[in-house]
Amino acid sequence: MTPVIDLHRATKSYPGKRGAFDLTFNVKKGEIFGYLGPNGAGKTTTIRMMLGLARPTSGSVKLFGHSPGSRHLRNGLIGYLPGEPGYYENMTGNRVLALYASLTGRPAKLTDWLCERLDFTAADRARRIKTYSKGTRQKLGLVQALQHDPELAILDEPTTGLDPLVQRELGDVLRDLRERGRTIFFSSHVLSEVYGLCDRIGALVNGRLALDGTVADLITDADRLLWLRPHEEFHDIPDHAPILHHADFLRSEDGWLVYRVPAHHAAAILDELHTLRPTDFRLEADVESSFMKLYETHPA
Amino acid sequence: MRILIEHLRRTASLGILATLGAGIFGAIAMRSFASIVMPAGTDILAASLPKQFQAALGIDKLPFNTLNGFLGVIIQHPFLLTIMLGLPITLATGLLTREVETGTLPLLLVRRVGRMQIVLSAAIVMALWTLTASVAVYVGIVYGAQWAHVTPLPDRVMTARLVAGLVMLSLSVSGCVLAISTINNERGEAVQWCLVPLLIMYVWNFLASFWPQAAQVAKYLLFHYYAPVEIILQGQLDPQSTIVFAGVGGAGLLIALIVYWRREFNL
Repeated sequence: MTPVIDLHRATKSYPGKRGAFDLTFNVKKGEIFGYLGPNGAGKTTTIRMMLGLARPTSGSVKLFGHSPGSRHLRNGLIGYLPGEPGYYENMTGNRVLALYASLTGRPAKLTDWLCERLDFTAADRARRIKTYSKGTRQKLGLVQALQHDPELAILDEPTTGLDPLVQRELGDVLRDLRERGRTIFFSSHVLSEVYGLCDRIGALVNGRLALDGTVADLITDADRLLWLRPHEEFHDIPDHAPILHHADFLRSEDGWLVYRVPAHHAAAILDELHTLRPTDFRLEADVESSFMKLYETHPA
Repeated sequence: MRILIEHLRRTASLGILATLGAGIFGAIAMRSFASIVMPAGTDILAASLPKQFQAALGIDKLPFNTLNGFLGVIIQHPFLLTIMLGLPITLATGLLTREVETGTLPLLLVRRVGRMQIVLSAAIVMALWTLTASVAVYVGIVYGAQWAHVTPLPDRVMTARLVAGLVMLSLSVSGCVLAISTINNERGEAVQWCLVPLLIMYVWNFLASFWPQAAQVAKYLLFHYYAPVEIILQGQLDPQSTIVFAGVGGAGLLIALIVYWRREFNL
């Protein structure tokens, strides 16, 4: 099956060594693909190439097997939320939604459903956009991008300005769309946003793809954080945590001792724990640190 | 088609305002003429217009207190030129550059709106409002003359030719400002790039009427080809001017289409 998004060695370079370089990845139908990277890593440049706003310097970019900007792609197949959406400020939200609906090749059948889910009220929609708060503007952006139920939604920093409740609801909306076979390209610089939501993650560092894998891969490869409450024989020596051969002591916190365990020692640490006889413990994947390490090991 | 309707809707207030302004100007001009041809009026105006200024306007060849001479002046009145040339500048920068400046363009381009369609739609809207405003000038002059009891009434065919010359100038400028609007990312910048060359050309053309050195260059400027008095004297639109206006306007539109089709947008 033709991938929904297919980049092959796509490069877009700007003066000053900025841009996106040698990107090769694809996104299949029905996936939520998290596209991560710090600010200025090249995420928006990638999106520009996908939308045909910028031409690749080399390599190829295909959406549904077509070149970006092709008339085949302008039939409501794509929904797009820009990182900083601009609107006709004197129009009302209703007017803008109606305008974009009329310019799209599909009926806007999800408008009411999305407005309700994202708490974009009728009163808000009746107001002029220039009176909107940042969060309300973002809700309008999300509704215009998704109201025609596009096959592919390209969302650049979609949670910007949204309160935590609406952020969570947006996650549920995107999961519902995935259930309907829709593909979501979710660009963000915050790992926690995409971690629980996305099927696959691509991480961009300094314009290059440093990671392309499933969330499961990410967890498998991540170091573990071992939290343990030591046996009472160690209570008298709080500054001298018991030494574990397969882990590095990090800190003590509220009676817990925290260790870092390399991923390949995750199984071995369980045997070692047995000899310590802790009163309680938990082991969790330290995905955040893995990501930070990724950024650190790919210098500019 | 949808984008054309949207563009028309968005420019309606401005277009109607320009049309009203142009029409009212035509009517008031005829009222003014009626007062000029009164005995005292002629003397006052003849005394207040220096010879060089009369030469610059081309009315040294036609008596100012005749209807044709007067029409030759008012059809190049700065107020009317501001409407007829300011209108395309405002429309083109509003419909093209502003989409880039405010970041609304990508939301159009992911839908059933092609880059070419946006430019063509803007060009059609500009042409439409220019024609509407020009018709208003014509109607204003013709009916204003009746209202002011001007006798004899202006020759309708002659008036139509004069207005057609104005339309040609306006369409020619429209082509240029379309091209400038597609190149720029900021509306203020685009307006500046449209206005400055127009003002320079206008002033230069004025200077050329009494400064021979300036006249050498004037033939390369757009306003050199806008000569309403010549239309009156020859009784027809000057073919060379028509070709120049059509060529410049067409070239501008072509450049606009190519630029918008090929350019990248950092949005």
